[in-house]
This record gives sequence, C-alpha cells and structure tokens, in this order.
Amino acid sequence: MATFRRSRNGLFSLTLHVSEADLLASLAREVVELLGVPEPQAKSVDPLAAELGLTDLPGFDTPDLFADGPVVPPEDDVLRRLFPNAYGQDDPEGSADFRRFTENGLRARKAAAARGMLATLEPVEGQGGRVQLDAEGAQTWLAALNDIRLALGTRLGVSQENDPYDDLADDDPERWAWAVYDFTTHLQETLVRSLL
Amino acid sequence: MPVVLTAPTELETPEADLLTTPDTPWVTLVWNDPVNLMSYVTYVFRTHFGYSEAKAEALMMDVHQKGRAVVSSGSREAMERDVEAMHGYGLWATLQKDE
Repeated sequence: MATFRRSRNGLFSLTLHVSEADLLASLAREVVELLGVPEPQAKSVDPLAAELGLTDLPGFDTPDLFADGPVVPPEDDVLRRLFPNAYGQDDPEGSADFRRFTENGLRARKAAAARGMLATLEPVEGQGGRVQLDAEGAQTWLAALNDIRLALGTRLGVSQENDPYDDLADDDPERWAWAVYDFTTHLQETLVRSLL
Repeated sequence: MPVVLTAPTELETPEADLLTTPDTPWVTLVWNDPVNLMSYVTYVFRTHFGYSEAKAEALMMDVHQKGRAVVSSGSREAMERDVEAMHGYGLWATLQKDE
C-alpha cells in the first residue's frame, strides 16, 4: 500500500499505483463538489496598482468571502460534521453568529486544500507514479486527507466501537467503501508520522 | 386597554448585570470523535497551540478517554479563533464560559 516517507532532501514522497492515484483524485473532487465553493477567478490587475506595487493587496472583487455566511447548520451530514456548532445547545444565537462569520471562510480554505491536493495528483492521474510534496504541500494534503476521512467516516457511520468490516459478506459493496476509508487512514497516519 | 405596554409593576434590578464579571474566562473544548486519528489530534495540539509533546499527548488522551478536554482558555474572542482553527483542522470543538 502506498506510504508517505520523508526523503533526505526534506520532501514528503508517496508512490501511487494508478488505481490509488485515480481514487484519491476522485475523492478530492467529491469534497470540492460537496463544499460548493466556486473556483477563485484570476484577478484582473489594475495597471496603476501594479505600478505602485500594490497588487499583493486583497482585491475588492471577492466580496463573497466577506459577505455574511449562513446562520443554520448545513443539512448534509458530512457538511454538518465539517462545520459543527461552536456553542452548546443552550446558546443557539452564539452558534448562529459564529457560523455567519466563519463558515464561508472555512469552506473556502477546505476547498482550496482539496484543490491543492488535486493539483499535485494531476501528473500521476491515469498512470500512477511518485508524488513529492514540500512542507506546504504536506500541510495541504494533511488538511485535505482529513476532510476526506471525515466525509467517508460520516457516510459509513464510523463509531468508536464498530468496525463492521469483518462482518460484511465478501461481495458486500460496503467492503469497498471500508477499504477506501482504511487506505486514507493509512496515508494520513504515515503523513503525520513523517511530519513529526 | 394597553396591557402590553404597561410598565412592569416591579422593576428589574440592574445590579444583576453588574455582578457578572466581564472578564470571566472562556474555554475551548475539543470533543472525542471516532474518525480523527490520535496521532493527528496530538499533532494539531502541538502545531496550533505550541504545546510540548507530553502536554499535547495528555490532552489527546483526555479527549479520547473522557470524551472531551479543555485545550485553551482566555477571552471569548480568542476562544472563537481557537474553535475556528480547530474546525479548520477538522476537530470537533466548542467554546463556553469556564465552569
């Protein structure tokens, strides 16, 4: 099974079989789709700003990040797990305010991580091969893999006690889903270990 | 008859508000969940809060065994930032007034 290793040059490397590369790419795509954050558009550059060296300043053409976010939890189970209430049940107003000011930004960051993972998978999709990540890339993968695991775990109903894999019939389609979950767990575990 | 708009017969005592100290500390709680890996949770506590390996591991074990742990305390604003960061990492976190 593909395993993260830290090489001597400080990079994090992972050699993927074609089926593993394609699987990870499709999982990252599903997360991007689920998050529903439009791909950031290339900013038009104001020539005056460019001359003054101000192009690194945040543009004013991305109002959606600053607009009020939702005040109620998402309906989808996975999204509710990714964006839980910040306050207990005794403070629904606190949770609503927190959500209004944070959910859009969190969604954008999670979508950016999943898209970053997809970008590094692009060269190996359809053929397999080695993925090499620098420190920043490793953080992107760590975040994206974790969101993928939360999504799979939520859909599978993973709980502390139950590991139903052994009870499933050989031809039960759930077997495949559990194998995928275990694969992403292995990747996340070896990535964390190589980061320590 | 303007029943709704009549003044209350008994005035509420404003002192009640003055008794709650404005600087009551708030805490960030992280809750146990069956998906996040123990190694990952420890890693998040070390990198986000800058805790030592021993402290991060002890907090992670508290989360795992007791179901939750207080991972930071401070102003409400600071705790909201911590909770937002924890949600970014995929940890299940909430904030509340220190009990």
